[in-house]
Amino acid sequence: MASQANNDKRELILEINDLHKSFGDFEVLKGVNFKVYKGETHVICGPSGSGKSTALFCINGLEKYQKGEIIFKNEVITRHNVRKIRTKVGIVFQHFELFPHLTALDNVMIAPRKILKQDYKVVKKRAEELFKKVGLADRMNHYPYQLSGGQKQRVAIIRCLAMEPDLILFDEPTSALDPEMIKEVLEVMKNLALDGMTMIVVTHELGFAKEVANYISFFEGGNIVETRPPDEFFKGDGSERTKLFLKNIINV
Amino acid sequence: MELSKHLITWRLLIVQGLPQTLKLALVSLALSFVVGVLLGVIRSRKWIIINQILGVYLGVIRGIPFLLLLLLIYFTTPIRDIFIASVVTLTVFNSSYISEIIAGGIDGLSQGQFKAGKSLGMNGIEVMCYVILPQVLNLTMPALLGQMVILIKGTATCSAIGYVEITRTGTVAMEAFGNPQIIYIYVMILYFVMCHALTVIGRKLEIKGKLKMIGKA
Repeated sequence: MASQANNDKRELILEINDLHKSFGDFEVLKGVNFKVYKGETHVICGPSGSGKSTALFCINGLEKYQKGEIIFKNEVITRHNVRKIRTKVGIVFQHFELFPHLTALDNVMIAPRKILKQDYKVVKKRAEELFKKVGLADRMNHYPYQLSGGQKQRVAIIRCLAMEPDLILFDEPTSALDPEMIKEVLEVMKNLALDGMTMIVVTHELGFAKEVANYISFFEGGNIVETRPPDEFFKGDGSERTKLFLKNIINV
Repeated sequence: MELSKHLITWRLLIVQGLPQTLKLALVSLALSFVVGVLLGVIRSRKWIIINQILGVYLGVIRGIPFLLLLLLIYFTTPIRDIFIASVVTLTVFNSSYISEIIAGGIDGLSQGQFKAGKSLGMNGIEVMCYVILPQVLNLTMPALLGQMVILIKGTATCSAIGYVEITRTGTVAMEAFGNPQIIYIYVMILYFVMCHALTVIGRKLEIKGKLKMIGKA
């Protein structure tokens, strides 16, 4: 695992500086700072309502923020370039959000075809390979209602991959799944991480974090309390709040 | 009434009346659909000022009888052509209902669908065309077809400003041959066939759409 010092020589994919967001009087994000380097898997965990998902949605402009800047590959994200950046930053939603009127294959192909205007045959070949890779080659022509939760989420992941993104954001990708389906989705994510995809994963799956993450950030009350490699994180010698969180989770 | 008069009546209804009814219905249908979907999309966007103006407009249109709207458009606007006045009235009237059906359908979809579309780099129009509207049309098919049946029946009212369609042709035949009971029953049969066919086709489309999206009808 790379140390912090080495990181500075690696390619910086995403940098968040002093991000603030409020819903009315309620301040959700209180000056978040965050960096992700190419090829890293960065897990964000923390209690519900701490602003993890909101921060994630700010990255690709699905949530507005009042103050701070987000820099993606040396480019500050603004209103004008956000659509271009979204084609390079995929997001996987908690509730899949597949398009129910399209087959699994069309769900995966629609954005590369219609938005990136790529050639049908090229996109189809890439899509078919992705379906094979996640073990869903026989489900390509099924509609979303015909798929299980785990299958839907795997289709949602390759819908992102078909855009050939530089970064994928995962918003609690396994929270809406039956327990026995969680594994198949985590397996796909793990392989992605091993293939060198840059990922930010908001999740409560600490087993996954321990095994795959380069860094774990603990989010609490609108800010990141600490960011550490998993082995240090689970040692439990961090902040008092992290200790309590870990204790509660491990007791469960 | 002799057989020849029955035959002449049918000939009149089908050769003279029916094409005019169909012409009026199809043109108005296409226009009301386009205008209705556009207004529905705009209304679902919740732009404060535009939405309020639109709300007043739709409220007024839906608050007056169709016949009155027809007379108003024919007699108070510069439109002097009977066909055009009829098309405009049918379009204004029906698109106001279609827009609410569409806006309701759009509001009924989860915000996640908009986010998913946007997250793939789509702009607002692309999200509407590729993600939202196909689903909304599938889901609101029964209501939309109901509105289309209402439109077809509305063409009969256009005879009030002198548009010659099935009902008006029936009246002409009745004035020549007498026997309003029989002739108006013929007219009724024609309307019933058209509307019922549309309902049956609509039901099929609805089942197809639902099967595709939720697996049961």
